[in-house]
Amino acid sequence: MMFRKHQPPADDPMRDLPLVKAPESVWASIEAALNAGEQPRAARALGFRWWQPAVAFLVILIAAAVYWTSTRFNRRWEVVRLEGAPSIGLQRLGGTGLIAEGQWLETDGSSKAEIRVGAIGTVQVDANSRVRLVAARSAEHRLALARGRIRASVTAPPRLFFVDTSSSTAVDLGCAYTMDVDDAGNGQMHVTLGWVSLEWHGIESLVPAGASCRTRARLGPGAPFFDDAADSFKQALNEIDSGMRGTDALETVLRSARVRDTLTLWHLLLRVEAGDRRRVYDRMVALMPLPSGVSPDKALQLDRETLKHWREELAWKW
Amino acid sequence: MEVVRFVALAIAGLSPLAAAEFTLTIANPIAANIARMKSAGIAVRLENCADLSKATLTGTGEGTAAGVRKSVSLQVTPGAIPGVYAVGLTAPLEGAWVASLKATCGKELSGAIVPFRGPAFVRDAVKVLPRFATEREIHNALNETTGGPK
Repeated sequence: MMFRKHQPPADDPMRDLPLVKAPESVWASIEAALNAGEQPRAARALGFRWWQPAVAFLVILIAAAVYWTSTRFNRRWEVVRLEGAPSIGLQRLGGTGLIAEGQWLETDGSSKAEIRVGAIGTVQVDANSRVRLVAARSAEHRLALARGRIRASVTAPPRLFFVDTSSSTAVDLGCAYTMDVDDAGNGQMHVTLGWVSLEWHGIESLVPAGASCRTRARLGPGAPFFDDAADSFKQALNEIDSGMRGTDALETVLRSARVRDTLTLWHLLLRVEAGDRRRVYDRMVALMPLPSGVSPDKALQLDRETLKHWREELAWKW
Repeated sequence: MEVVRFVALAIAGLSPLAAAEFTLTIANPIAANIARMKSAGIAVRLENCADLSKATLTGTGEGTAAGVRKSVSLQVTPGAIPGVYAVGLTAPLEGAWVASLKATCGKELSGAIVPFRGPAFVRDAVKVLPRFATEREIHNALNETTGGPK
């Protein structure tokens, strides 16, 4: 093996040191190390270690487990037994428990429970009810009511709390309401505070405090009505909501409507057949003159913006 | 000349009568359309106020809490439309109670007594006045609402 001799500069003091030849054994060991591919010590310190991927994998695994556990925990709501022995899944609820997404809470004839809807409110589940927790996320708090009655009280901003039934979705725009539904999917909502939108396949019923709305399987929500409306009014409306197209029922509704019942008439305007729309419109205008800015033609054409503006004005009489 | 003066005086004298009176409309809170005030008891709209920048609305809830007669200030939240407010209690009152509203528009006054049964106001029993309600009127309204002595 040949090595080029290193010549120190003329002013280098090392130049005066005597040159000593390295023993042959040193060269032999260096050559052996090079042949074996051994790295210098400094390079080894920064290089690859076999256990590093294992540690990284372990860290990722732990982080994922912590995240999964925390999100699973957050996606549960507390349930408090109020009466009897309600059950979550197959487990009887003693005092308090947790309901997770996808689980059912069921009460029998003698039991009641209260669900704490995250930090936004409570839902009391009455006897003979079956409720499933669909979503427990910050942007969506959703229950499904299969049968029975719930009493919801929510303090969150609008459109954060939902209750699904087979014939409607109650979208919370307000604060407190009761909702009941039978096994067939027929039910009724009653709002005590604020307002709620009942939605189903493009149909929307806006139910303010003091009003109720029926829902029917395969037909969705009917027109809302104030609870203090005449019995004849409510009975005739029930026939209309049931899909009976009798002229008498509409005639009764129109005849017995008060100013406040324009809540119902406004909803009927969008739902009656075209031939009856003019009759509903005429009665509404007779009860409360058309406000400025609302065009009769556009109202009868069911122009969305016109109807919204009209509804906002009518609401001052509700 | 006398005729012109007479006509001018007549117009000047009649014009205040022709102007609509400052008053209040009380409605279901849905009318105020204020999402953040969805727990409000009522919506209030000031009517016939020429300068809403000079308008005010205040009020108290009169009723009982823990069996004791209480007067609670009302939370008045302005809506997006000038002159529209959502009004609710700042502290709970039990059972039946009444809200006494005081509105001003410059120098004009209007008031209202709004009975409530729980969270719902009793529309048919609302009294709107061209002045602030007196203590006696509020007392009587509360007794009528609660079924107490007149």
